Amino acid sequence: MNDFHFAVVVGIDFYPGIRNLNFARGDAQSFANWLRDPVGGAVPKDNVELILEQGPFEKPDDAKPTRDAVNRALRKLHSVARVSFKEDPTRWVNSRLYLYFSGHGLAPEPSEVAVLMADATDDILGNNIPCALYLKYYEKSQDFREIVIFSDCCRTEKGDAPIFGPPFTPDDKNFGSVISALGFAAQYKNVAYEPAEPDDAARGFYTRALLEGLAGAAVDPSSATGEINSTSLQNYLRARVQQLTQGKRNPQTPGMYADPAAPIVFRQGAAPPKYNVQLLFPAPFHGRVVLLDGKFGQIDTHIVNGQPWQKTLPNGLYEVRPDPPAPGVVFASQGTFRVLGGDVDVQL
Amino acid sequence: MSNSDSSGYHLHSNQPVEIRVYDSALQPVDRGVGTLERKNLPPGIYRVELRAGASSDEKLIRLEPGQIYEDLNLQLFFASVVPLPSTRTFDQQHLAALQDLSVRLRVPSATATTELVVLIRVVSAQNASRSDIDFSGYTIRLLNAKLNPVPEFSEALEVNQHYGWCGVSAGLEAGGHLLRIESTSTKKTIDQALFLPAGWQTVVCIPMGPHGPMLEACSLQMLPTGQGGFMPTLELNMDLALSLEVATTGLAAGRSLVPRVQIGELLARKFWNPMLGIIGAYCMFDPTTSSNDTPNSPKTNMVFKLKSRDDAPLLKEVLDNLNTLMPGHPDVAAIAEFYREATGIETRSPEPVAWPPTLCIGYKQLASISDVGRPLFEENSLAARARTWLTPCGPWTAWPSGKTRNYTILNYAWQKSFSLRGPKRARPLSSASNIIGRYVDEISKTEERPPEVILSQLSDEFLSANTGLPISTVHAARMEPAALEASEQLEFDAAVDFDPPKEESSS
Repeated sequence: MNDFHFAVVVGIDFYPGIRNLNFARGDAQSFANWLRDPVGGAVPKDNVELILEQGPFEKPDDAKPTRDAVNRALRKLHSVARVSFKEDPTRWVNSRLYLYFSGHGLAPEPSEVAVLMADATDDILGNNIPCALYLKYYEKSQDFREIVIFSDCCRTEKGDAPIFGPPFTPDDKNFGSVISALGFAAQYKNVAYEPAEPDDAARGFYTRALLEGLAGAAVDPSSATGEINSTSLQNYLRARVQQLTQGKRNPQTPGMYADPAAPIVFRQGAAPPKYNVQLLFPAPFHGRVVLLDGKFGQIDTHIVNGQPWQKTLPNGLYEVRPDPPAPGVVFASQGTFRVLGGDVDVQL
Repeated sequence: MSNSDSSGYHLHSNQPVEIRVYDSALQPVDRGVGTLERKNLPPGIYRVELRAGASSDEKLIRLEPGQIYEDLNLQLFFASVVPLPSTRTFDQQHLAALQDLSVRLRVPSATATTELVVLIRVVSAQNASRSDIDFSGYTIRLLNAKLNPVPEFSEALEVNQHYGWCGVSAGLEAGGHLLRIESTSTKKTIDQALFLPAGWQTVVCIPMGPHGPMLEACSLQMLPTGQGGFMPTLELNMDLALSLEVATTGLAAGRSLVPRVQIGELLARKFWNPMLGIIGAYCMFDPTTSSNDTPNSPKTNMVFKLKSRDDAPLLKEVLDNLNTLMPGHPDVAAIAEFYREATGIETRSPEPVAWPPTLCIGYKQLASISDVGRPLFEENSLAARARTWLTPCGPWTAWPSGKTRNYTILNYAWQKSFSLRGPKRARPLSSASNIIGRYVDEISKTEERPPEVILSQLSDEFLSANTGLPISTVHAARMEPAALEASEQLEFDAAVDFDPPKEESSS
């Protein structure tokens, strides 16, 4: 286990002052499960503060969690860390803080992701946790060497929503530079000209892709050790969430602020998952075809006899070509197709 | 890999789209706007992503060894709130409805000098789902410049649940109006400021979402009255609509994202659709942050500069034309102020504006210039009052309807008493003190230490970073003797928007 990894996980479904969600608590619980999993985040149980809203509530004033619950959980963890790293500064090198939020959110400015707490209302939008501001505090205080924030919420533009940093006095140290990653589910004020899906359907896509990626789908293709890092995760999340929401009423493009030169490693030794791919050929075509990977390397050959060709393939771009080239035979999309995060039927 | 084996591409779109290229391992290879050229890439399959505003599309391309892949006509099949042919969300029924509303006014008036058409529609690529969203339960109201409801407007609303649209149109007296959409399920509504110039028909298309009409994503177009109704190719075509979408997305975020060539096309179409000219003119400016903030300015100053100094003569011509096309339009007045700030040249003697500009960026510009001693609002007008009520609504000017109601009720009394006591003065420092006090109070509760001890440990820089107030404002507020005893000053909007923390334990 990663003894010096800590986490605060927050999921809020019931917002008596706004609109309720359905899957935010479940998403938070799933992420907490990954954190505690020895082959996942491997964070010790006692180091994970799981804050799930326990509604329903009648009035916004009764609704919890508020900022206070999150702040107290953070304070509890960073107090433990401060004592531990003061005792033995070498521990700091292996330290990390995870923050995960699932709920309603907004963007008071383009670089911010503010997650609304359960007592927020349309009139009291100041009851939020502004992730970028919290990240800045911890980057400066150097309580942890790595900070990872995932925020599965909307980023609707609310330019006049007040934001307040974490209510902690500064405690700046000089352990070393902090590495961070701030992931968010949607771009700033990504106005959809199509009506939105019910919020929960849209919201679930990010955490779903995040858990898929951390489970293995986001393995860095250039890594020989099966590494999943913030860069490979960022690339996977962008492509996968776009794919999951393509054609939906509210397409999403997630983002991540992270330094590609200093990636945060989430896991080593992950095997990229493979998916069932069914290749369907146009009826008149018979003959030999070759399956190529994204760099035109040959993977396999097949004799087409009117039946689909079943393959299992990892994420990537592929092409099927007649072999030898057959003038006049044109496959759909020039025979190219993509495998990403799930089984797929490809009509060539 | 030898040079003869290497590949490349030349990608171009006439639309203002962002192009991104990824390799087969999902790694980003390249990105740019409009055109991308690259050589010396390994042969293989690449993914090209096109994006503009909220719309995106993708295709896979093959880069064969030793070849340059060329596609000089990349097209984004995008979503549009206006029912335009060749867009992803085109619906023939909606276009027919819009044209009918545009030609056959539901509330005609013999004395009308302007016209308004409002179409609310389900903007979906999936026609099967358009009747899923319930249109009952919404009322559209229109208030005139005196803030009285326009008679018969609400009653004339036509609802077509089956095809997923509702709409209304009217002949009106030119000038300022407020569009208000009320819902039976929630009492919260907003008023959107419109200015309807004489001789023009204004067309407002609003997407219908699962939680009701989405005013923040609406589209405003104009066409000359009496020309025979809205015609998509004349007022707006697909490429212009995409430029408009990118422009309004950018303006909502306070910046211009449209390349100059597309701005030129927007400006060129202003004689047929002056709204394109207004939005194009706003897009000629880029915001920059001014460092000389003052204690009286609660936020960082934003200064708008022309994208290119060479644009000054063009903008002057655009302003002259817009003034001729729509005299007295508050957005044109706002653009004139942008121009004056950027060039130092006065285009006209400023006439006080009584009605807010339709675009929030223009309204904020007029307000910030008024704040520094150049009065641009007519005294006690709606424009003078509503500047502190603004609520986010995409790029548009809007505020909670309750503010309008209060203003209507209080306006008479305010006017009566104004001459006796003078206008109320803003107290930004006390507001800042209140914000600082509340933040310190929250730290005090979390860390269980007295607020005065905490305040003494915090630097101006720290407080500025964690409250969003400029350092100079923080510094000035801390000079006030009773900076932390400001709880009685809840009258300030910035402070009432934040609840003090409550005690609780985490689970």
